[in-house]
Amino acid sequence: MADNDVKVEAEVKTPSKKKFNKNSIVWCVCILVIIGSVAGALLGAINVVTYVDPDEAIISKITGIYESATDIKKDDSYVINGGAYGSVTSVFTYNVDGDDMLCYYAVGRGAYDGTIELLFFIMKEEGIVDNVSVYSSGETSAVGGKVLKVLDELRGFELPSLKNYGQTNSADAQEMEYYVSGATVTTKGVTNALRACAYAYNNKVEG
Amino acid sequence: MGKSNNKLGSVFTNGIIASNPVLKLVLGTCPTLAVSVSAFGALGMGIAVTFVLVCSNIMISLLRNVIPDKVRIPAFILIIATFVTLLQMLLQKFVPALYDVLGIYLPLIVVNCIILARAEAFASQNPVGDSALDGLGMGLGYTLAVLIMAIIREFLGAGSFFAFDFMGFSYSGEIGNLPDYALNIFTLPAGGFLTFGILIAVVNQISMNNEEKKKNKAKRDAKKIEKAKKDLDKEEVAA
Repeated sequence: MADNDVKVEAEVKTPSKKKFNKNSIVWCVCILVIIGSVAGALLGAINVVTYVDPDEAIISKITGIYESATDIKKDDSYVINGGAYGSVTSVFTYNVDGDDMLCYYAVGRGAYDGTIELLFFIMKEEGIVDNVSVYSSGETSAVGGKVLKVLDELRGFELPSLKNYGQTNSADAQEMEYYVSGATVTTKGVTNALRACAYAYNNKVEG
Repeated sequence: MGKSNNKLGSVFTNGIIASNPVLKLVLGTCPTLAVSVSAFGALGMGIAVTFVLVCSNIMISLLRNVIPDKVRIPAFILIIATFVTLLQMLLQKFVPALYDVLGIYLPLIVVNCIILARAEAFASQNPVGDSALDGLGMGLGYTLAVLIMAIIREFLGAGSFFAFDFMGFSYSGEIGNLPDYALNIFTLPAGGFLTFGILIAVVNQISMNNEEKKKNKAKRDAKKIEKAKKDLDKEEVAA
């Protein structure tokens, strides 16, 4: 009777051993860990070489647009945020041929993939938008060209004239002078970034 | 030697013509439709996919005897994702214009079914040289298909030809007054599907005609051989 019991136990244990092969599981995990570690180390090394410092990128944009720009400095005292749909991340001050200029790195929410990051180049005394450049966006290439058209229309815009800092809705965006059909959502993002920039400028420079 | 060269040649050309991943196998259609709005973006995407295909095929082929069968898909994805991330970092640093044009579709190369399909169907079962050639052929086939689609869509939808803005050089590509008469639908998804469908139909028709020609030639050859055999038999009887 006891012998029979042992046989039954052995029969039960054998198939479960086949299903649960510890060695193969350990081998699978080891292989994945080794591949992952090598990949991580490789990407880490590449990241050191290809790291793009955001401040350096902005400075190179400034010197790309204004070749005679001097005294480029990051000044966080200009960073003032109030609106919920756009924010200013950093501000750079610089001088072009004796004129003081400001560069606002502003993020506008409500664009195609959520946010659009723009650089507004402002004449400090007058508060006039002298130039606008895209820092980063998730727009598709078809809309990308339209975004540039929208930005061109913003040149000469007077920041002190903007007092509405609320969220831009689609209808609101369509009333804008620089609205481009087919890029309503992009215009929304751009407008929210512009409002964040105006808020920061009007509260610091205009007082 | 000649035979092995022929085999390598067929591995390479297979992806470009006979088994074109986009127009014959209908793989990776999502990024194809998305980036084929401009020829510049399409060329960039094609080069990016080719780079990832060749590199991942080589690596997977090298590791094919080491990777256990049970975890082969996660291992393939891990290898593909590594090369895509590497490419993303390099493009962001050295070619930011192309990085901006490709946008979200660049990281999505990881889940491009052409790359996973070649890893699973070819690279995991063949030697390194063949796998590299297969990756190159498939990549060039993809680039060719996307580029043709993009040139058609850009011309009809925007009235321009190969507009680009790359490393300080820019070209609007606008042809006369054509942008004023552009059919905007071709830059939209509907136009993409339309162009894609027409291209597939054209390629299918061409390949059907070629097959028919091959069949007719084979029939003619068979008849010639039969006739030659009969003549030979007659000569033997006469002798």
